[in-house]
Amino acid sequence: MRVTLHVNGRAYARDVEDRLLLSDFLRHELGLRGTHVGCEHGVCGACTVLVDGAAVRSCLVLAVQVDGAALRTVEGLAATDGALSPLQSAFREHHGLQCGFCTPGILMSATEALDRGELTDRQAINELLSGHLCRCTGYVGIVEAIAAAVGLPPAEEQAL
Amino acid sequence: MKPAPLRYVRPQSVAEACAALHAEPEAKVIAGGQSLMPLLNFRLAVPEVLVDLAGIPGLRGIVVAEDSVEVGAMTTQRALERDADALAACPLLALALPHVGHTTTRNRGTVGGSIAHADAAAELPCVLACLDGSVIVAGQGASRQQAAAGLFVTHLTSALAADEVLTAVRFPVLADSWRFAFHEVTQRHGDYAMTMIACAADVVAGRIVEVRIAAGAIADRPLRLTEAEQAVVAGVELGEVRRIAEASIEPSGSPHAPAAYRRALVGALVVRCLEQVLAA
Amino acid sequence: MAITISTPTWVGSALPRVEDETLLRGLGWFMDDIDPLPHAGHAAIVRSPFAHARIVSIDASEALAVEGVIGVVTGAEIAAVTAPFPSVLDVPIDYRPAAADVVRFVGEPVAVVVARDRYVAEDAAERIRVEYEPLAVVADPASAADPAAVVLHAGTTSNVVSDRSFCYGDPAAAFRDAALIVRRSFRHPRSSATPVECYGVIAAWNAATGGVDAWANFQGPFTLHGVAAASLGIPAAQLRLRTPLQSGGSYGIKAAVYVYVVLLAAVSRLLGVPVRWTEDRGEHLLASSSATERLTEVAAAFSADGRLLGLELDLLDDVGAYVRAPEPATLYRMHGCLTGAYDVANLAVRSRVVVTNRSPTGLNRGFGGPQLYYPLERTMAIAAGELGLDHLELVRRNLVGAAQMPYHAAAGAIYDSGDYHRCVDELLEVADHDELLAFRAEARATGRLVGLGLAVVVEPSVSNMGYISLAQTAAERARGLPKSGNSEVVAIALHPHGGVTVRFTSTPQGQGHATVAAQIVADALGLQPQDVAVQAEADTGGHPWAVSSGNYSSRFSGVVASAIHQAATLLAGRIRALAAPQLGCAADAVVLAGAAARHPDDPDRSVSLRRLAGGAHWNPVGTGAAGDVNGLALTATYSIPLAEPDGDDRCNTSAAYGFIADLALVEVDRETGVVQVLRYATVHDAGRILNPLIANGQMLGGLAHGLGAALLEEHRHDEDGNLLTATFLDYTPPTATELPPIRHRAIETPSPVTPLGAKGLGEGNTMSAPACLANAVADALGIDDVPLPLTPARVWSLIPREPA
Repeated sequence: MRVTLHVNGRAYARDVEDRLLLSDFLRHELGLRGTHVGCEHGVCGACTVLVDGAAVRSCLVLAVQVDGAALRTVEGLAATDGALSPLQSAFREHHGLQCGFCTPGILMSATEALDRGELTDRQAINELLSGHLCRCTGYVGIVEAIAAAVGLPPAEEQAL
Repeated sequence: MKPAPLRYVRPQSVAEACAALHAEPEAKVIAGGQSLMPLLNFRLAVPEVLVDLAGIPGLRGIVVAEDSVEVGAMTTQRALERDADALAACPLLALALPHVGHTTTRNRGTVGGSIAHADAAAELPCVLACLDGSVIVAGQGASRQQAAAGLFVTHLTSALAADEVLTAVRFPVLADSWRFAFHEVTQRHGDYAMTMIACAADVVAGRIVEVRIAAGAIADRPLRLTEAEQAVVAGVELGEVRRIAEASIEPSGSPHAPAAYRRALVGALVVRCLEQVLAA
Repeated sequence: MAITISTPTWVGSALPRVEDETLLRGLGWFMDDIDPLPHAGHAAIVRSPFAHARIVSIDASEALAVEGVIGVVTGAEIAAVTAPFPSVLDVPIDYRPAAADVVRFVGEPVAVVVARDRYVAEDAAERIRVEYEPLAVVADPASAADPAAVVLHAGTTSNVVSDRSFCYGDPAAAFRDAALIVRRSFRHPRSSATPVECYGVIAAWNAATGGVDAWANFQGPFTLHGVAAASLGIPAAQLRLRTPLQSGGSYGIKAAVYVYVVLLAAVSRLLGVPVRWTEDRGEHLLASSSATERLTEVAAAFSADGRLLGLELDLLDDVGAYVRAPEPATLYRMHGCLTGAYDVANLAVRSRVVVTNRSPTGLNRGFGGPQLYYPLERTMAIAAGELGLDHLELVRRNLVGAAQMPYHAAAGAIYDSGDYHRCVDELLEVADHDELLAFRAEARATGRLVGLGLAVVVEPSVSNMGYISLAQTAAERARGLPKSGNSEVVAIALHPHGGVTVRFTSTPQGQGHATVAAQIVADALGLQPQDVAVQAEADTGGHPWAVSSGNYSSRFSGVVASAIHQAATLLAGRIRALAAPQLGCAADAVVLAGAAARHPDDPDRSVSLRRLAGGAHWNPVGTGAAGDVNGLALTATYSIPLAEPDGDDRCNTSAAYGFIADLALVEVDRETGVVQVLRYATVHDAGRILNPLIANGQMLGGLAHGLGAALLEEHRHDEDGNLLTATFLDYTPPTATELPPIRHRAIETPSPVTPLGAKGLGEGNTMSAPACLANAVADALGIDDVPLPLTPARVWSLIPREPA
């Protein structure tokens, strides 16, 4: 089936097998390797991309299902002049990534939530991150990076 | 872990979808696909044809009426979660929806898909069973209404015929005197529950005069705990209600949650729910 | 008058990582992203559904008929072109990358399909008919070790394939004199670090040379490159193994990818095409690697006043169906420091290896540490109760003292530095111990199940390459080549137009090696870190490496950083020598700062490194820089001095030893069994910290692995050897919502054995957290027997109840 769509503002058209996963389509048909595949059953979140503004797991979507949609992937996060987005910069400053394999998916989920203004506290950030596995960081750096991008104050020691 | 070969069709109407399902016995409906796609990737489901409802106009949307919140089958769980009017009219949804997977799966997962998938450990079927809700089903003939009681046949099997399509879900709106609670125990936030309890209670002058208690993840379908419900209304004290609830079920076990544990969770969560509605 | 030229000290600063921008833009080149051999076929692996069975027949005819299939290779065909993987154990176990006639674990490869893409390869794999004749299964270590059990490997008489006993000091006397002896049994379950990126391999056999070009997200070469070459039956120099620029995490697990390098190389040889394979999550959970399950019997002898007089440890490690190198290293990695943080001279150890019908084990963060400290630290807590002492007090009475450093532990470890008592004191402060005690007392008064747990661990780093030979007797060792030390080879060069490249083989998987290397070189040469280009990936044919090269045993800070420092210092010396005549001062006096060589007393007299390099490269004759690439490129090897095991089986198994002390407050939900960690505090001393930002990240990441293993993660098998945790819905690593509030502090006692004073870190909290949380839950429930992991259902079953 023919799939016509926009990714990061650029138009693409490809003939694909009906069963092709969106994650494989992005990586192997369009060469957008920043979207990573970690489990292919919707748990790890590494393959998360924005489909018409909504963060979804691209391993749980067929490419043919997003015909006509506008997608955004990690390659489309930086500004047109190349500058990292504030969220990307915060990940660097707060050591929110180590191996970086899960990072694109987390950036995409957080980008949607930031745009919608849904991250009002660290609890909301934690719940957003509950859809993502990171085995390197212990999540602390990720939470602090997102909190900084939201504009939350630095974490304080919690009372019992 | 790649899906087996399949043919994808995207009908433009419910009638077209039903016809496609009728023509191909090995066809399967895909809505949001958040439960179906893992099964396809593991090749645990191998439909020859995948009938996508996404192209059908009119299956998305939420209508808040006097007596029900009617949710179009293709409405995403996130859209419902963000609809303040719907949540105000049906507070049990507000309590249960945050437990449904994660934001990224709720972004794509649909209300109708979750009900039609009939996963015995999913939250929305349990909520529908608790509220005595119903679904609208279209088929080759006229569309019909199917009550929640009787809808969930066994794990991953609903009462829908192979060529029927679920088009809407109706969550009843209860009077202002009703209180709600939802509790589940999971290994991790967003995981399938090891046990969940949904509870709706009509509380008058600090006393429960009517109650509905549904349990998920303990059998092959969501169960109403009718003996416990009757005991509550009869004014039986909570400790005894717990015992009745635990005795009324025969939970299935799993490596993470043996049967005895699930039974105890049912008792504990029933009490937790009842204490919450009484305190509200 | 001498002037001061201010030079920033990069080492020790919290420099954000040079690695990050590439990753944040999605521009990394991970294994599945690279395509060095266009038109490689895509492999799918047919795996055994039985834990133990004879392969009767394999029919691939239907698979071969699938359009797009290039070929099918069976285990028997692979056996014909491979040799068994070598092992340190002298037992007849024929381990190949695929089973030829008998399968011994669920998930063992039996055939490989190669097709034009993975989809088609999976279609064909489903059509391969394998007929099996099931055999009796032993799926746990205790049954496997039973003399009556079915024996897995023909030619062996027992599934216990290694059995060594060690004795240090006089444990018999210690137990004779003891006022209290505590004996307990423990089971440490299998868990796995599950990197988010799975394994990947590309391999091509060259029929002309008989050599192999391979790419894999491996973490060696390490000793395992040679193991792979031996199985392929080719000279090691003919196996060119490269790692991609990025690797999506490992924590030890990816060491086992070498088995698939051999598998894919053999398939390439048999089919005559290059092949590639990306492991999927199902395959990863089923058959990649995991920590060993260990059964431990502890006996601890105490004096009446709580002195630990002697220790007996009986260790039984389940390594799975085969002893896959570097196993049985899990048993021996901690050998020198089996006495943990305690001052005790009398130790008896029995170390046994048992094979079972489960997937082979291997490196996994903490490697041997969690298996040791859970029994040891639980035993100390139990003993405190029996002695009528507070656990903290018992620990304090037995900790190795600062004045004893360097401390010679019973089994041979030489603890290089540290002040354990101070760390514990600081822990109490960081944790706010008084507040925790008050909270516990108050909560208990209202019937809540609240408990405090403490654990102290010694964290070894930089493994002695000789420790694995402890699996052999002294007599067996004497017949072989002695093994010792741990080395790294570093190439460094100042380029003709300025700029420095440094290259070594540490194969980082997220640990920020490039950043720290740039910091070290920048300091030595007076540069900015961004002036230093770092290559840390492996290319066994492109850069010299040591048999110890790779990423394991937290060796970067101890040995790789030392090697970088040494190479940069050597280069700095050559630059100074070149500059001295031009500056008119002694070479030793030349100051390197601001990308220039400067006269120590006159800031106006300087020559830029670019100009110096240009002169040396373009005019070697005139500058006297001829030879050795004009003096400005050099390769240097650094070896950390670690002796081979001695004749009494004493071995300093690691180069440096850090210390960690953890305190946790937990509450158990009486009705659901859910363990909530209300506070987790940890203090660590890993010597000098090279980059605090990265060190904190490593510490927190290691802690998350420990918390996951303590509370959530276990690879469970049924009695038929089927894996019950074969998806991420059943094998459940923690997410952000599962992790508790953490307080931590780093103390820096420089190591005297490494040039920069650094020790490794990142594994310690993986070792300590399960022990600490088990102690806390035991305290909350008032019970002794606390199995891992502490899942809600399991903890619920442990809660003491009034009889009905």
